[in-house]
This record gives sequence, structure tokens and C-alpha cells, in this order.
Amino acid sequence: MWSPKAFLSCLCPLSTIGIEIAGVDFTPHPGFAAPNYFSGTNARAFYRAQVTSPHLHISKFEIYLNNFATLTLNTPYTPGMPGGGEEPGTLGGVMFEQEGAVMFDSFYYSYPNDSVVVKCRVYAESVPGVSGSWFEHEYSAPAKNRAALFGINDLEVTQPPLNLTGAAGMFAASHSLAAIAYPKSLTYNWGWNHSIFFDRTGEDVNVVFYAGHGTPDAIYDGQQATQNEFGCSIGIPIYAYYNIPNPSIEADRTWHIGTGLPPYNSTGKPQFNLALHMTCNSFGSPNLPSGESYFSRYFYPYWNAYGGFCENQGFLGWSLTLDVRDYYALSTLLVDELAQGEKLAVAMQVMIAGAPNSHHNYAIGDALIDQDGNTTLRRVYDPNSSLKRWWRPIDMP
Amino acid sequence: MKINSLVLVVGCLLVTAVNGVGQDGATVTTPLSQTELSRLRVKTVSLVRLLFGRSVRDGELSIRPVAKGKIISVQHRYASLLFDRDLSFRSAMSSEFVNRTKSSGDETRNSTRVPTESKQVWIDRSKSLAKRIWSNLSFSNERVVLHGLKRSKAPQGSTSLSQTADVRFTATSDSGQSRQVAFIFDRTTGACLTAEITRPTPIRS
Repeated sequence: MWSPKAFLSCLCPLSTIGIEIAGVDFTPHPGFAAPNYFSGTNARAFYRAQVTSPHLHISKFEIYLNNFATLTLNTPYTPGMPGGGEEPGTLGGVMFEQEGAVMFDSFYYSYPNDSVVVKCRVYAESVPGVSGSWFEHEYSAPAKNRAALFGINDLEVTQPPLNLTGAAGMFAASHSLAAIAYPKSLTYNWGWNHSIFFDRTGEDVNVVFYAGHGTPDAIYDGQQATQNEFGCSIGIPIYAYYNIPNPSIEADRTWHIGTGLPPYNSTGKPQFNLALHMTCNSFGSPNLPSGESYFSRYFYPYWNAYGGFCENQGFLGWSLTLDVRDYYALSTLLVDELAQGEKLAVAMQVMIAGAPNSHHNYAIGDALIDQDGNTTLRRVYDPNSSLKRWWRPIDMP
Repeated sequence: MKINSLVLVVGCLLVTAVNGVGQDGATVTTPLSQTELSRLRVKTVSLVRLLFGRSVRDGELSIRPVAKGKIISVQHRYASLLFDRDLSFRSAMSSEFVNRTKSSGDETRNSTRVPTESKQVWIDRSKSLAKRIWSNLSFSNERVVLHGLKRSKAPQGSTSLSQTADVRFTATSDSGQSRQVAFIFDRTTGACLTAEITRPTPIRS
């Protein structure tokens, strides 16, 4: 059956332009690029609604995620309330505009089968406080569940954390870093080369530990780097290896869907695991803004389609070279905590406390969180609360 | 049949808990008793007040075993603390530390002037705290790193973690056991951000 609402939704399902539906103007994601998909723990559903004639007042505003009510704002008409436009949306006690946003964890849904339907319901009153009607608008985007955590290993103990300069000890460090994948490959007698790393050890991986230093040209020229160029055991230009035509950040990532290549998980195995990728100097490039080049390419869409560095993304880095014998155990501790929805900083703390005795004395100061220590992989976080849940209302700018 | 299966599963779980053996065969330590829980709460409240100057109520604490039960995690909105299974204190991390935000990319690492305070200030502060947390310790091998780098892209209102003083030293008990102690302080406010101690290392003959 033809419906004007569905027709309008099809015309502009993700537009930031307001969509008027018989007296209520709905705007999904006002002021922001609407998402092509929801991914990670900082996925956001955002709506603004404005009444148009003959309606005057919004008394209820609700946001649903797949028919699950997440946000309800009640604004009953109150005659005599201060208005005059001092506060957005109010005029003489009449709420002609309302907006709300919900942050949620896309891992709550199943990739690749689930779409997240964001619905906004509004009760608009033509005679404030007396009579009105419900109006609603919805759009959907797939859940893709890409994790957004990675680590950088600092290779010189004497350098400040996350300093990517200097190459001393890099080769030894590469083997330490590879520890999470290397035993796996050996255990299953897969051998050890680039193909095996990405095809086998990385098949159920969507959290990537990344170590810098290197050769950005190898990435941008589409040439597969050799071990000699990199001086470490892992490190290939991803799109070159997979023969991606017309490489671009988005093309790369889109191409990787279904490959099992991190951070995608198309195998039905545990939703995240650790991988390592090592290349060099990947934070600088003449082709993209400095500091965003390889990171952007590999972790696209780390911006989660909203632009700007979003919250709830953390970098975990070490200012020392972890012992190869410890690394697997430490990583397991870290992942166990993250799997339970723990904050990255707390998981790091557990990992350090659980470190086996070795020649290293691990300390929190050695493993610092860059960006946001509240990062979680399985829960929406609230810095002001220890509660863990998969969604929460948020304030949008 | 379903009910029988359920009973079987529950039974297995109970047996697992009693026997202290996890599914993967790894040893799982016994659950905390009420007495231990009570002690843990008291210790947590004292430590959070001492280290971070925050008042914490019992009911606000979330306690759970981690690392196969070898470590006990105590979470509060002000702090995250870890204890060994024998309830000895291992580490504390303030929520302020967790909330610190830095920007990425080394191109933003512009050196900036920082206060030229004495490192001894931070050593003394650390030892004072350490003595109140762990008694009967002697100290040696003090090391202080004053981080004085500023990230130009740090969001407004946030303080870079680089503005910290990282203090480490060796603490030796009367019995001769040696442990590494580490603190991180905010150099601007003086607030303690983290405190931790490693496991005892064997006495060298």
C-alpha cells in the first residue's frame, strides 16, 4: 500500500533536510552527515522535530531503536511558562521544536543481518493541552559492528608514550608484537607469511593492534612492501595485497567486508579478537592530513560517518617492548575484560596487574591510553556512571 | 527433559564453583566470603579517600573477580581498584585518569614550558603515600619522569596526560621482599591519578 510517509522516507531516508509529515517536520541527524551504517559503541540516533500548522505544541518526543523505546521527553503544555524565545524550542509555554539523541552500541545487533531502524514519534497538539495526534518518521541503516580499538607500541623505553620516532629495537619488538598471532599460527601448523597472517590468524579478528614506523609510500603506491623495507615481520599494503581496484579509503574498507580482514568479522566467531599490524611511519603522508593517513585507511570509518574524532575510541600504547612470552597472556587478560564490556583503561589496569613476573615491571604509566580511556567495545559508556548498558541518551551540540 | 538439562547445567555450575576449577581447566580461586567482602569494602573506602580525596559509600562499589579469580576488581565511579586474592592492594586508578584525553599524532607534540618543580617533591609525596598504604617499607632506586609535552589538539577543558609526574621506586619490606611502586600525579593540581605496586620479587641470594 502506498503511503506518503514511506514515499518521503524513500526519497530522502537519511537526509539532514527536514521532512514534513502532515504537520510535523522531522529532521534526522540535523547538522550532521547522516550515517550510512551504524558501527561501534558510539553509534548515534538523532532526531529533531518541529510542528507546523495547524499544530503548535510537542508534548511527547520519543526515539525508538528497532521498536525499543530509548528516549522519551515529556513536555506537557504549561500556560504561563516563560518563553519569548529565550530557550530554543519554547515560546510562551509552547514547545514547537524538540530534539533528542541516543548513543548506542551496534554490537547489540547482529552483523550483517540486522538493520537498525531509528524511529521518532511525536505527539503534536493543535490545541495545546487539549487535542493532538501522534506522528512518526523512521529511517534505517545496517549495523556493521566494527571495533575501534587499536594499540601502538612504542619501541623505545626512554621515549614518551606513543612516540613513533626512532627505530631501535624494532625488529625484536616486531616479534613481541606478533606474539598474539604467531603462536596461533604455529599451534595450527599454518606456517608464517603475510597470507597466513591475514587469512588465517586474522580471520576472526576485528580489533587491531597497530605498531608504527615505516614506509607510507609503499602503502600509497600500492606496492607490497618487503620485509627488508619494513624491517619487521608483518606489514603489507592492504589494498595491494587484496588487489583492490581504484583504492581509496572507503573503497578499501568496503572491499574488505566479508573478507574476515580486521576489523571485519564475517565468520560468526567471537565478535572480537586481537590482531596486529605492523608497518612504518604510517601516521604521515603527503596524500592525507598528517596523522590520519594509514590510520584512516585501515580503520575507516573511525569517524563513524559523523565527522570529527568521536568519543569512545581509544588507543592503547606501550612505552616498552613487551616480552614475547608475556604478550599472549596479557592480551588474553585485556580481551577478557573488554569482552565483558569493561572500559579500556580498566581492562588495561587488570592486564597490568595480571602480568606474569618477568624482567619487566609493568606499570600503568607504561601503557597509556590515548584519546579516551572510557572506550568500551561492548557497551555504551557514561563517564559519570559505572553502569554498563548498550544505549543511553546523550546531548548533541 | 529441558528441566533436567537445566538442573544438570546448574548443578555443573555449582560444582565448578565449589571445586574451583574453571571450564578451561584453569584454577579458579574460591569466592570471597562475607568477611572478606567486608574487609575489601573498608580497604577500598580508605584507599580512595587517601589517594584521591573522595568519599565512597559501600553500596556504590561493584566487586568482581578478574583474571581467573586471581585478582579482585572493585569499581566505583571515582576510581578503579585491584586487589590480589588475599586482599592485598595492587593498584588504584582514578576516574580522572581514565577521563584524560589526548590527541593523537606526533605532529602535535610541541614542547611547551612546564613548571620546573623539583622531582624530590614528587618522590616525597609518593613515599608519604606509600608508607600509609604499605607499612614497614624502605625505599630505593627512585626515578621520576616529569612529562612536559602538550598536545595542541587536546579538546578544550581536557588536560593532557603528559602534564604528569610519574614516580617509581623500589620498596623493600622487613622480610627483604622487593617490590616496585609507581605513582602518577597531575603536575598542575597535585592530584594523585594512579597508585600501584608489583608482586613481591624473590629475595636474591
